[in-house]
Amino acid sequence: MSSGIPVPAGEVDDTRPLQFFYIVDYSGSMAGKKMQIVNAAIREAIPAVISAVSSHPNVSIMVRAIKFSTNASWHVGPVPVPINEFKWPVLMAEGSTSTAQAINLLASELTLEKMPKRGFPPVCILLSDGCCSEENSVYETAIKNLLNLPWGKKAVRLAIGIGKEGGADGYDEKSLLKFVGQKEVGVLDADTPEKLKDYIIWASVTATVSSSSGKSADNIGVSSGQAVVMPAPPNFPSVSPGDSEVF
Amino acid sequence: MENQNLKIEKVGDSRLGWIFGYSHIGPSHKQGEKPNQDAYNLCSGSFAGTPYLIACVADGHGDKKYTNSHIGSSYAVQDASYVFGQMLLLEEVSANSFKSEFPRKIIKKWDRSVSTHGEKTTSFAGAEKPTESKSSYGTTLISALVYKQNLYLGQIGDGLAFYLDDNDNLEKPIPEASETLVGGTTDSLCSENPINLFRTAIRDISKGGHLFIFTDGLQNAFKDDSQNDIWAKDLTKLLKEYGEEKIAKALPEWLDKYSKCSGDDTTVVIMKIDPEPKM
Repeated sequence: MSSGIPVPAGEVDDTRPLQFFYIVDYSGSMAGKKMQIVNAAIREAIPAVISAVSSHPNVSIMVRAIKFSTNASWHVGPVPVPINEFKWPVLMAEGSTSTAQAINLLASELTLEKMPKRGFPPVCILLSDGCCSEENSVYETAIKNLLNLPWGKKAVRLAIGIGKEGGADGYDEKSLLKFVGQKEVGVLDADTPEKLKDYIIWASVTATVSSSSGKSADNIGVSSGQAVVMPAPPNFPSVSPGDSEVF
Repeated sequence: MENQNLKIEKVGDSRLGWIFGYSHIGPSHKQGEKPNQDAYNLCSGSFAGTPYLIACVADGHGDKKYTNSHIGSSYAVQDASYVFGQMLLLEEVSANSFKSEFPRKIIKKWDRSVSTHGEKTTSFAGAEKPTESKSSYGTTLISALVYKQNLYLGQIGDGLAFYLDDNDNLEKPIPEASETLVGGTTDSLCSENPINLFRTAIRDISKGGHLFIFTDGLQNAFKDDSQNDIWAKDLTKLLKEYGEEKIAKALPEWLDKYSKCSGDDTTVVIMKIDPEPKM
């Protein structure tokens, strides 16, 4: 029953933004099956995320993507795109691996001035199959700068290591782990096409749902600085002989 | 139970002013059959013949690991009211002692309350359960005491307290949190070293005015902070035009709308402080 009294002035907003970033390695070593799977899986992940948050109508997901090989640049952006309108353009592999540049580009968007004050913790998913080709000190500085930002610290940051871990042409788990905010998840090891697809979808959906759930206390115990705690990733089956291929 | 979250309480002493409050459950909690995690408490009385008003508002954390935050917020408002009462009795309400004593006492009282509660839930019908951790009760708190022409405010965590004087000057008397808290994080009574995170303020309110306290469920319903200010000023005009009874009855409808915007529990307390009578 209406009270008949006018509602006090003050513009309301029935949505809260959630900034979502894919940070994707398209260096030469990603050519072939890896790049194919990444392109297809991200396209599949988008409707899965939309469906997962359909019961939270006040969450407004805005998506962007950074690509990096010899240099880092926007693949979709810098203007964020509402998830319902987001289209993933195909990426073709070439060049080396400028992970630090990509992280710096991400950090430049997570400043207090650029991020919406009422927003949910941003979701940042890094996909890479190799080591950063820049100097280690450059990478360390990029990570430090990201974590010095309040939004950088609170972001849900996940990393998917594509292919084999370690060695001359594998991904560097220790480095990727420095990017990861959710230590309980660790680096997601995608050594088969199936696992890569499954992890991209799982990470996209679970990170978004976790970010948009309730408030957390800052500065308690081991999760100091970490706003969002995620569930452990599912145990996607490892490859068996005669089964699907490895990267 | 119909309207179990509809709780309009008005208490007041005609010599000092009046206060009322309302708390509305958020749609996600209602849908998930979870309790309202906000709490508030209002009291009035007099100590040694001098009237006082107390208003406390708390917001239990929403993340699923805070399984007892609705209990934590209830204890926070009850314990803060108790601590104010004790401080009045011990004559510790003064500019010198309030800022150090209130945070220390409320943290200690709340710790004890939730620890006792946690221990009591350990064994039930002979079965052992792990003791509930203090962090599961995590909550914010904003508390206000009006006594002898002064307004004493203490806050930990998010939420807002505005004071609007009778000349329409709007102030947020409590200092901002020292660290920038973004992305749905807040300081809490369960944070490490909460004593360092408490913020206090004291104001002379002898000329009278309005105090608004609300949880971030209401704050986040608005497009930005400037809209919160506009809301508070316009609400004061409506209070003068329609009176507090009618505004109190309108609150459920308004907070239902705001809570749908933020998705969160929303609570507001409104206090009218009369100017000190001229002799």
